[in-house]
Amino acid sequence: MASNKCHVSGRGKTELRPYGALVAVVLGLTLAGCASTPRYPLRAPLWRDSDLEPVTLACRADPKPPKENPAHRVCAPETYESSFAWDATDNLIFRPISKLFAIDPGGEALNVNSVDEVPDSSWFVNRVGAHPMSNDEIAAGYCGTEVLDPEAADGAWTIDHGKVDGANPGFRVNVKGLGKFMLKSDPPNQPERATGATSIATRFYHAAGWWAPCDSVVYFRPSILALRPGLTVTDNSGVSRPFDKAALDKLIAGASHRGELVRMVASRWLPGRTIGPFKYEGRRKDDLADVINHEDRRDLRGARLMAAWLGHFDSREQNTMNTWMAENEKDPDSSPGYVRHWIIDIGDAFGSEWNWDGISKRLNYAHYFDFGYVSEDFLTLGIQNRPWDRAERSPDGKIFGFFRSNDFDPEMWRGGYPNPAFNRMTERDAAWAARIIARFTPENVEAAVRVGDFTDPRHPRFLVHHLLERQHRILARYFAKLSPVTDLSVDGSTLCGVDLARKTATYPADQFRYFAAVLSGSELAVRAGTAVIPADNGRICVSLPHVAANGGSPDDAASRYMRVDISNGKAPEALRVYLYDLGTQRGFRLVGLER
Amino acid sequence: MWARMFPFLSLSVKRFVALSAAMLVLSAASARADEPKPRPVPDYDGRGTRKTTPGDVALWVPRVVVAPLYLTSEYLIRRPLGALVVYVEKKRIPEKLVDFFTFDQEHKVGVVPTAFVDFGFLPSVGLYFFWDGFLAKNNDLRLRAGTWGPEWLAFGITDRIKLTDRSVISFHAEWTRRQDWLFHGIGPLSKQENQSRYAAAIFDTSAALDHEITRALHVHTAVGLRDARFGNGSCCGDPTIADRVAVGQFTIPPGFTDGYTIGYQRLGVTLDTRAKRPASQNGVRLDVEGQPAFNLKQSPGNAWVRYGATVAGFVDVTGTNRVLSLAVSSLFADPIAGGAIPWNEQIVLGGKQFMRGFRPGRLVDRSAFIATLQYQWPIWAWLDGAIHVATGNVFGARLKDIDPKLLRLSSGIGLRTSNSPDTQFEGLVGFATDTFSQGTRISSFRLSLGATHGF
Repeated sequence: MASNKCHVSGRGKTELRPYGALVAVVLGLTLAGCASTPRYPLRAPLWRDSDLEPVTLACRADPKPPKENPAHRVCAPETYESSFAWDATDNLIFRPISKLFAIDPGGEALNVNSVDEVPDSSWFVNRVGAHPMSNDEIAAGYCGTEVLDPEAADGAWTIDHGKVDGANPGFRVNVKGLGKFMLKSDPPNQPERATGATSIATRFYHAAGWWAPCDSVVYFRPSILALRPGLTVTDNSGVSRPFDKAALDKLIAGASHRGELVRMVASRWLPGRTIGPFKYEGRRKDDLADVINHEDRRDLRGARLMAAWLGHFDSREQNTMNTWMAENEKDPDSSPGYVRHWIIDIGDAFGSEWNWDGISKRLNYAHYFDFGYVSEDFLTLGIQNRPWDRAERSPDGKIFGFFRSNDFDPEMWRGGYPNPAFNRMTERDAAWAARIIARFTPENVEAAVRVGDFTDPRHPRFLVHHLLERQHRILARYFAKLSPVTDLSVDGSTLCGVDLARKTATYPADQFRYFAAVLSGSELAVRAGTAVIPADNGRICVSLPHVAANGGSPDDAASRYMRVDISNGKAPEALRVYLYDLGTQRGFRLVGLER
Repeated sequence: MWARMFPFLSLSVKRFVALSAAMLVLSAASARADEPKPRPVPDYDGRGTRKTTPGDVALWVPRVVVAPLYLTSEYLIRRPLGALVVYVEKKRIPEKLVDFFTFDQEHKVGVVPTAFVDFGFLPSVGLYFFWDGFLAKNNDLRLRAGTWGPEWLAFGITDRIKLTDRSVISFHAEWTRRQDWLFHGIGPLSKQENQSRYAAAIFDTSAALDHEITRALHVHTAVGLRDARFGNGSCCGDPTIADRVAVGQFTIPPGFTDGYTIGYQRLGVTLDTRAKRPASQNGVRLDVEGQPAFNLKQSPGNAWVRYGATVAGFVDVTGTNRVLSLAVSSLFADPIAGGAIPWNEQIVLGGKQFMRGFRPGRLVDRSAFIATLQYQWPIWAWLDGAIHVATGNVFGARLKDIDPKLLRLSSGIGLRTSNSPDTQFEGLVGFATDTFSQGTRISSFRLSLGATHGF
């Protein structure tokens, strides 16, 4: 949203004369820009993006048709294969150089509605940010009730596929009546962490609004598995080996156990037709609904803060997925449909470690190879003590590696390598994400962490403690500059909202000092100051004076336009709330917000 | 127009061609019109498209200025390279290359192409062959071959057997023939401007035992044979030793004319109290080494011993591996039985270990004294920055005529790997000077990439 602050500096005549024409043009453009900040129209905020409307795509021959239907046709976008090597190399080296020369400083995100929020779309759905969620809802995540039943009969889970690529060993099971699940185990150096992390983190992402799969920890007895003969598994280098009983036994033996039960994470197959990951920049040309460059989407930019909170450093394009959601669910390859965008593979959250401490300690603080820090430390002779110099494993959370809150600075957080959307996150995008993160109460966080089903009771306590502390640091930073007042609504002549900073006790209560000013008319002249009444739970209310009469001018006339600036005494920027006064009989209409 | 363009065609044919062309154009336009179009960008906040600001306009000035850089980086480098890398990855070319250069499923046997560059010397290219578990577990075989033409050849073979977790026995043989070695004369006042080249063919074979008595105490012992033949070299426009001798800039060094064949033994003891990183690197290190050698082809007998010691102290300034160290070294070469010690079996400074601002072989004489102050700090996983200042020089027998005015300076800054306290891979930019008595003029620059030993 454009600021309507304009500053025009004058110059003396003698300076103007030689550059008169140029200055006149610049001044003219400046004045033109200042004068024409448009009013918010008299309409409800947009809460549903049109990219959820199905589109019809041309059909083509299926490159891998099923045996029973060799003439099968696909009416969905092409599958995109992401290059692991190029994504890393490009984002670490070539893209930053190219973008530097492009001189593209970015701007505010484009998919932001009139109340500074993101409409529901194929990328993001307002959940916990729109309404409180119960602990049960948070714990259910995307799974709902469709999870594997470890009490099923022996042989009920048929292994029909080995796991292709990836860091953690596993296999796919097909369960009658439930569908397909990918089962993955923990690496031996951090038992229970990866399986717990992906289960918990997907709950947070889903509750926040992103599409995240159903990943759930499951403890099962090995006899529940039935191995289909003749399976093979391909490793990262493309070498195929048989996936037979010996291979399965070896995998089971290497997994975490609780007594006789094997612990793995069951990831339910995504709905629709998977068409590869999405890129964090540009657009998908064969997706007719994809009209905004991804690096300019608030939901992708703000995801940086979510990744920072949970320590999801491996937030690259290979850990995302697009699915084509056909209207006809029985034929996932048909049109019409739309593309849904998922965040997947979040098992690196909460302190994933590599084989080398030198790298593991730097995760979440620096890129895998961070030219900036390397250069800085070389030129300054290592004077600065870095967070990774102090990193230690905690005795209460050894499986969580170096994940902690002591040195967590949300502004300085870095993923494994630069992310085009994350790098363009503005203060407003971050404030939006912070408002969502603020919605998670301590009970919500505990409920999500319980999903990890850790054996050692110290582990969930450790995780909850550090997640709450990290949450606090995020809020303390991003509620400090832009107003954290949200959930605005008008009831009669009262405008009410919630100060999330006060609600979450981000700052001491005595630091909040509320005041409001009312401006109205086409020039938005200051009318009066007005009292703000704080109440429990962060709630604040402001009485609105009427500035227009019943009838007479049209509803959307400039004379009915008003603005209420609300300050909370902490954030230097006031929240500007825009309304139309429709008179004493019809009241006020909230039409816009600016931070 | 058609008639003028195609006079040889009949009118009906021309009409048919024109009609067909018109239909093609119309159908293409129609097809484009029928193609589903992307949805319009919603007006999310109801205030229409964001207007262009003066800032937006002003941005075009620097954009135009750096446009050539952008076009080069984006369209000449990034996009073609991206397409190439994607293609290479899709076709699994790296895996195929690894399969091509390795000869087993577990990639324990293979060959790697190599290249080496040391400014001021001829480069080389070669092959490196490795076989882990050669004939037996814990036995690793390495073969090296390098060349830069028929006058620059190097071959080496090393077999390393891990007897226990603390003991390694190795067998080594190497033959090198190069014509670009450097010689500046012998003694503390040798001059940079007397730089000359010589050729050498050196064969060396040895058996060695490395044993870790305790974590802090290591012993190294070896027995070997070395044969060296010398001649006039040519490289890089520099004169030969013979040229310099002819004009009286120095005399022929001992051993140059006839070469030598020696048997030698080596015994070294290292005490290093530093803990393994990332623990604090406070500690001390003591290196003591002796190497007697016997000239097998000279009668009456000709034998000598090289010996020396280095004492170093390390202070981890912050406890986080920012380490300041001071090392003091004294090195000697003394005859045991008659005859002169061949010059390149004397004490040689420059290159990998001492006074690294000098190129290999710069300073030669019977003894040396060096003090090195170094600061090393971590800049990445396994990568440190290192800066050093050293003062020292070579002197006559047993530091004869040692004088502070005869000391030189050597300094450098660079990057080095940090995975071993004994051997690191280093990229160094360094310089070194004449003696203080000669004015301490910077007389040598060095840019090197390679392994270094010691501190």
